[in-house]
Amino acid sequence: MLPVAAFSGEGEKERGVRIGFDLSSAALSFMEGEGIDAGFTADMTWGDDYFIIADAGYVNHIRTGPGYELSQDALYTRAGVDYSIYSFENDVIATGFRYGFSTYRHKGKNVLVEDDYWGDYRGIMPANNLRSHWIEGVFSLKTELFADVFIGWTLRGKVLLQRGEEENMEEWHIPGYGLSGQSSTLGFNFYIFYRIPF
Amino acid sequence: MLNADFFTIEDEEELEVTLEGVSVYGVGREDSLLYENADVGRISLLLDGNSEETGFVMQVGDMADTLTFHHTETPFLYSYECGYILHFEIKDYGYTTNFIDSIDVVRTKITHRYEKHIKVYF
Repeated sequence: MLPVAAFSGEGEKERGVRIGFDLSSAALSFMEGEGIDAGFTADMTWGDDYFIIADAGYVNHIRTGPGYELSQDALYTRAGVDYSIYSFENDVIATGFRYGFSTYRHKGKNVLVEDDYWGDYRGIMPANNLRSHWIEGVFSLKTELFADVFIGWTLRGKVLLQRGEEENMEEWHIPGYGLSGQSSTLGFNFYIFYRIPF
Repeated sequence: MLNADFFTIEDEEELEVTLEGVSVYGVGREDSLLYENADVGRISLLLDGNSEETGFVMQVGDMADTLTFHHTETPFLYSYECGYILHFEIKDYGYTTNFIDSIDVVRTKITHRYEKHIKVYF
C-alpha cells in the first residue's frame, strides 16, 4: 500500500501489462437489474513515467418504464496516456487523458401511449444506430494488493464532442460517457487488475 | 398537440382574431367536445395515433367546417420516468369552407414542444 511519506522513483518497479475489470459498472448494473455492463481496461508501461491505456466495454440493458421496454446494445472504447505524478514500487498515482468512442443501438418495444380521446396507441420505436465520441481528463490511483494483483480507481472529467442524433428520444444514456444532454460530466470507476509481467 | 391559430386578412394585413362560441370535436367523437362554446384565438388538437387520418369539426353558431389531416406517427421517449408520447408529421390536409376562408400549414412536424403548426384564416 502507499507509504505516508511522499517520494517517487524509490523501490523496484516491475513492468508488465495490467488487465483490469470495472467492478463499479458491473456492480451498478447488477444492483439496478437492468442487464450487463462489462468494462475492461489494459495498461502498459511506456518509459519510466508513462502508461498507455486502452478501455473497452459492452453494455446490454433492458429498461422498463411506464408503458415501454427499451433495449440498448452498445460497445464503447477509450484510449489514452497516463503520466505518473507519484509512484512507490508498483503503486502509482497518475493523471492523463482519454479519447472515448461509443457505438450503440436503441429499440423500444411494447410502447404504450395512453389516449383517452382516440384510444391508446400501441407500437414500437424502431432501432436506431448511433455513435458518440468524447474526451476525458483523468486522475487515477493503482495499488498492489499482493503479487501482481492490483486495485485502483479512476476519476474522469468528460467533455462530449459529438453525441449522435436520436430522433425518437429526448435524452439517453451514452455508454462510457453518461447522459446525452450533458455537454460535460464526471465519472468514477473502480477496478481490479492482474498484471502480466515482462 | 397540433396548434391552430386564427387570423383574418384586412387591407392585406394579417391580424390575429378571437372567435366567440367555438365548439370542436373529433370526427367520430361527436359525443365528446374538445372545445365547447369557447372564445378562442387558438385551438390545440390531438391527432389519432391509431389512424393515418384525423378529422375535426369546428362549429360557430349554425355553421360548421371540417378539417382533415393525413399524417404519420412516431413514438418518442420523452423521459425514462414519463415514458413515450407521439410525434406526428402532416402529409396532407383538407378543409371545408363554410366559414373558414383558408388554411396554411406552417410546420408539418408535430412534437411535444409548443410551436405553431397551422394558420386558419376567416
